Amino acid sequence: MRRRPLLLEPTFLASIVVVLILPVVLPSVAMATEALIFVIASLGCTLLLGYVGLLSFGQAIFFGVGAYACGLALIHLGASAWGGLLAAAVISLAAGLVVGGLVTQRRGIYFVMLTLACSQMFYFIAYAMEDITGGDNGLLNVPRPPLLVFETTLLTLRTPMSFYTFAAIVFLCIYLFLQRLVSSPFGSALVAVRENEDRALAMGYNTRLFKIAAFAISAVVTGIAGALYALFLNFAPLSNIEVSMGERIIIMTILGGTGSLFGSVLGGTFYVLLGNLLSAIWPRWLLVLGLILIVVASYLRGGLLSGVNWIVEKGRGWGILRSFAVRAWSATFRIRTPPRAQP
Amino acid sequence: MERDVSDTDSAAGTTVTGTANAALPANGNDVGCGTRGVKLAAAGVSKRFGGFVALRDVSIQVRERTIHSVIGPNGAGKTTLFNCLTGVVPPTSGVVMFEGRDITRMSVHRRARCGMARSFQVTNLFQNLSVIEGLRLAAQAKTGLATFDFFRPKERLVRAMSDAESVLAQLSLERWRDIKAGELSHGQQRILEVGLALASGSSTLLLDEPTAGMGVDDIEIMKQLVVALSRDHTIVLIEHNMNVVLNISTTITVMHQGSVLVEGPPEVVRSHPDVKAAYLGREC
Repeated sequence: MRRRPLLLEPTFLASIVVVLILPVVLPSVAMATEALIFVIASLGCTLLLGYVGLLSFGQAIFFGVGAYACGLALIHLGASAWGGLLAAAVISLAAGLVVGGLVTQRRGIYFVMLTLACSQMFYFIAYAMEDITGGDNGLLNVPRPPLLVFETTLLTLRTPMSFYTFAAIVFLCIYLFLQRLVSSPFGSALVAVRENEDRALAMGYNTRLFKIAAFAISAVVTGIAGALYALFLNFAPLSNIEVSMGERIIIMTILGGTGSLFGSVLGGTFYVLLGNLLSAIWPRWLLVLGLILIVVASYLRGGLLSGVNWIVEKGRGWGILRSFAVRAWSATFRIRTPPRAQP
Repeated sequence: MERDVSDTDSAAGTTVTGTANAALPANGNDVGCGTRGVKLAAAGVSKRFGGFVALRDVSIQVRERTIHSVIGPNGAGKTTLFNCLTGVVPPTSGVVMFEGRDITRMSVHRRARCGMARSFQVTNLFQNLSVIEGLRLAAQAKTGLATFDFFRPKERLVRAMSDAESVLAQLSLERWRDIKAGELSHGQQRILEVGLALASGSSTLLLDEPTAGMGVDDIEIMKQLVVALSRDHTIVLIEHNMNVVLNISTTITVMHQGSVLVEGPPEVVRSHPDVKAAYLGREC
């Protein structure tokens, strides 16, 4: 069985398409940027929830810590945009290891409670350390230095489109990295933990170590999203590290579907789009979101992703156009369903 | 499939324990009787759950490349002994040795990597993963640091992949290679249950009632599989099916109310009066 190169994986190609059309179809480039940032945050959550089966309410910790780390590095150390992202990655990695080590001591509902407790604690730490984080006011005046590669300016980051391009590059790199990760030996071990932790343990996997590692990787991804958000807003609000931010990330992830990384792309985009469009006409738009979440949780457990799959597989009435598209798609990517022998 | 037991060490004979705590050999080879070294041993293992004594001073010695069965009525402590051997629960007192090393406090996953693999009484597979993927995961667990490779596709870990394929062939499950484990028939799931232990490349297999719930025909397949495996594996077997136990075991340990009642080769155990009493009640 030959594999196609990962760069040609359909969902990666679809991600490139999404990146290209988002700034065109959304009302503003800024909204597209915000969508991409939350897609990245949601990718971190999908790794934990979709692949390891861990429901973490602590994703806001890493989002917030990443934003603060990036902002502080830019303000106090005069770091470049890359330096800001690097600082965010390193500090969130440390936070991920600490939090991951703490919360993976327990499984199930106690694990969830521990992530919630950690999230609250980090919020109050950020709130109390006013001198560093700016407390309630947030970390103000985060600069946005131009993006340099070997002394030449790659992107000025001054225009919305320039910053969007930067976010898109970061997003595609992270997507590609996570895509390789989930199909690697390490990724398969994470799936083993999700599917049957006791069996994985009996087979010789140190399941706790794998969970901590997944937490750390998820933290880095989420932290980078936080850093981009700080650069995007030119400041790092305290709300980044609130429990409600973690909830938001989880809601996006579940809306999109946890069956594949691409679910995050759908979920993050959908959430930001819905939020921006509805909040403009009705301040109580979260009520609508609640209804949508109820519908997805009750009838569309695989999220928007499974909805899209359903349309592709079962959709009727598209006639020749549809069958042509499906054939072209299968021919291009040589999708073959393996013959299923009956037991 | 009558297994000839006359060539193996039956010199151990019958030991009715509970009176003396068997001394544990420092390494596997200086055992007084028998020609094969002790692979896995428990010495004076007791386990209390609150006030309830599940295991009372149990000592067993499992010799290399033999089938050592543990039998006994329900509640005799077989599964608790199994859990102590595999590290799921630590014993309250006593020592567990594997290949001459004290592993009493070693964690489950480290024991597994030392070469002890177990199967479960209640089928415990990766229900949503394909048969081959489950086996590949089991084989991959032994590759150590290679498991932490998160950049190459998992199929490129050739060692694990080829081990999984060969175990698949050994189990005769090739036709079901790519279907989900949960869609196999019960008998096939039981075979795969043993297969997951086997694919880890362990020298010692602890099989917890491999024939549980199997039909008559499937039991024969399982019996042959276990006998085939015993040629190059040490096997500890918990089993209820007396036909299977008496046919294939080298040594049988009979447990009753948390203690070892009788230990010996099948023909000794079969005719032992205490065993009949324990199984059939006081009137015998």
